[in-house]
Amino acid sequence: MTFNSIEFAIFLPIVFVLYWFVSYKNKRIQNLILLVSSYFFYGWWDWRFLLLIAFSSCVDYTVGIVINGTKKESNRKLLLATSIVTNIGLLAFFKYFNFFAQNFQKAFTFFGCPITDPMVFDIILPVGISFYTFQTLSYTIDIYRGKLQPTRDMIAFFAFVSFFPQLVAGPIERATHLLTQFHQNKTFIYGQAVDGMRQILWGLFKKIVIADNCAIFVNDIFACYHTYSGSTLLIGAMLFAFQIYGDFSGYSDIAIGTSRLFGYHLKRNFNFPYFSRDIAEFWRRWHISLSTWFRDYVYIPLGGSRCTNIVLVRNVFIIFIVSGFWHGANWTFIAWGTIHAIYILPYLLLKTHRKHTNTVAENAWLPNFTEIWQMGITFLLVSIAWVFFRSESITKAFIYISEIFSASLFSPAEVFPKRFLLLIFLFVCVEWFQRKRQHALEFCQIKMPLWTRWGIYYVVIFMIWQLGAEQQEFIYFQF
Amino acid sequence: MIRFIYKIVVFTFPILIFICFSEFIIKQIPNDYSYKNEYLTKNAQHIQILILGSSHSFFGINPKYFSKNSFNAAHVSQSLKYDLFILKKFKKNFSNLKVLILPISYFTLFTQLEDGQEHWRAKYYSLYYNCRYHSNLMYNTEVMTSKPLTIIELLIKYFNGENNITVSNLGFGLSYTNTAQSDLRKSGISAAKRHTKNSNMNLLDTNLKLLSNIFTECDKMGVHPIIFTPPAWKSYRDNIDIKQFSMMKTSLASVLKKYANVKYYDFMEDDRFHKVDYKDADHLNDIGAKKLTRILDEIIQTNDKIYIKNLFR
Repeated sequence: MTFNSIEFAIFLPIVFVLYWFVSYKNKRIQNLILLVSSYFFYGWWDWRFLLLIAFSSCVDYTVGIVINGTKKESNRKLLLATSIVTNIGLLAFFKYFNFFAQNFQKAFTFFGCPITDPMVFDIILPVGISFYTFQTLSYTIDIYRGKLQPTRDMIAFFAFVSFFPQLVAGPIERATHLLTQFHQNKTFIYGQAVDGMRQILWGLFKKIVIADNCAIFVNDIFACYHTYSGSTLLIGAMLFAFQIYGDFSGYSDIAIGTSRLFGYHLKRNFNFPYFSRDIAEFWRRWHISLSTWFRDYVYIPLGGSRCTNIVLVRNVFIIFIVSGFWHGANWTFIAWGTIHAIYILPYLLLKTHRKHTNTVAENAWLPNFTEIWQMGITFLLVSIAWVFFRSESITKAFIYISEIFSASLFSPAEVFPKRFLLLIFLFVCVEWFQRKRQHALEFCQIKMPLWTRWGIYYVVIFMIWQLGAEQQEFIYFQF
Repeated sequence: MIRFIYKIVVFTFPILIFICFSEFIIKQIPNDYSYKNEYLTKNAQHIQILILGSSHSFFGINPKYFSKNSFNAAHVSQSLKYDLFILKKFKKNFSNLKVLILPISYFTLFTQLEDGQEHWRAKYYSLYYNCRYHSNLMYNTEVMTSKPLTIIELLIKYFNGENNITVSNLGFGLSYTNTAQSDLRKSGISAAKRHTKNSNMNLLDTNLKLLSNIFTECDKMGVHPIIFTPPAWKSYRDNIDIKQFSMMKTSLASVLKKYANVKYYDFMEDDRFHKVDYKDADHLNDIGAKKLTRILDEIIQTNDKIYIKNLFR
């Protein structure tokens, strides 16, 4: 069931009531309720997926305890390797097996040894596998590093892995942050729950109004890109930028807001990334949970930026290519990652990657010309890279981009949805004026009359209902 | 906690009241589906020619130009599943039915209502024809698939004593009457693209079975089916997928072989239809509908003469 479905609208209140009323504030019962609900939520997609998540949880639960009880370093490494191989192995098989099989076939054919019948399976990609495998890996790695003590509370651990608000599309949580919350007694905090509901509402607006409406134009433009002018293709690329932002950050907002209803804090995953002044800042604001995961578990162990320039370049390319590949089994994602590596390298080499760490126009209402220019260029670069992310193949992406930068860039766009572009502009304005907050409706926490606050909520609900487009699948469910 | 739940309840209460009230009121407003269901319930025994199908027959065949009692029971985006449903629902009452007219368009064998952009129309069959194909809320309520401004418009209509019927008393769609013609070139390209994009080859077998079931039912009832591919403007014909169209014709031919009483006519490139007959590249206007209806009437009369002649051999 997706967050914007009737099934979820029925599921959530039932779990909420069970959690706060039936559990009698008993931590173990609350965790059990969350575990059962989360397995029910996940099993709704496909009951077979439950076997995988249970297996992954069992392996890491056991490995965590045994690593902690083992003093011999070689055994500790072996156990960690077991966890890594299991989780990455699951991910590799379900997500990448066919990609490797087909590409090996192409490679062998290229070198004159064709394989006529490559072993390709009809594999269903379990929803959320890319997210929960990384989440459980962070648990065993942190235990190995001595940053975390393993838990012997199996229910808490299984609930941490399968926690339904963030199970299928993140944010990817660390055990040091989320698992510890499963060991704490929960008290209902009214203000937190109310703001959680606001965040859910704003997330639904971003997903249903912004993302799903963008999808209508994006799908048409990308499907028929060869018939459109450069100006239309540029609009298509930018609309996709808003689609993926609305989709993914909307999902994260709903996940975070839902967690707050149960007294849990999830880490922020998006911090108004399109107000970034350079690519380095963009990557501190976009899919924060994934980029920090790669930073802490791949980039820093490789040496990070405290090394020679050659090693730095190697590390950056590794991180971004792997990050791109994490998104999907297609060369386009690798290309997307490579492009971002090329974008960010100058900042790292010149040590200017931390030039913009504060909020843009922090002490002003509006940005100055320099900031507008910086944000515009960053958004344009990001949008161009998104073309690879969205395209079916690298060839099509190159054709798409070359057409953007042709003479037809200056011809009138065939697709120019004025009203919708106005809506996007207004959306950007709302987000701009709330850029210092956790989410755009957080300002309603300020003391204002009840009728004003509720009026704003009713207007947002009306807009979701009236302007909502045909339901589209969450983009990140495919990862 | 109690305060939170209380506020949630108070906040959502007006929304729920609006939804329930709207649902109740909108169902009272007569619409094309409720009208046709009521008409068929009361008058099925008088109907000699029944028209089913999608918008191509809804706007393309005007029963008033038939020489026999006829009724247009087609609806926009109606797929074969619902054509069969309507036929079966009223078959006991079709005591005088002689002919069934059904369009098989370029996309008919490769689509179903629930998979298209107009999937929300499935609710009308549940609500007004008492069809039990769907059990979910979306296809059993008016409000779930309607926008609030549309709901408010309908409520205003209700309180002004207006209805939502857009058909003639014999079921012919009137929305295209006295309206300007669309750009035939652009509408043809976009419709052909849309129909091709929405076509699903995996539905072919299912739709062929449904078509066979329709023919079998007609056979049991002694009804002669006339199926046709509707006229389309050049821009539409030039932009469809030739392979898909050939597959449609081949598959149709394989079914027709088994049913001797079924006649098929392909009007897609019929030069009797001119620019003035079209509302858009794949829909006729009322002038075109009159022409098509008269052509079909002539076919029916000719077939009758052949039938009577054979009867007295």
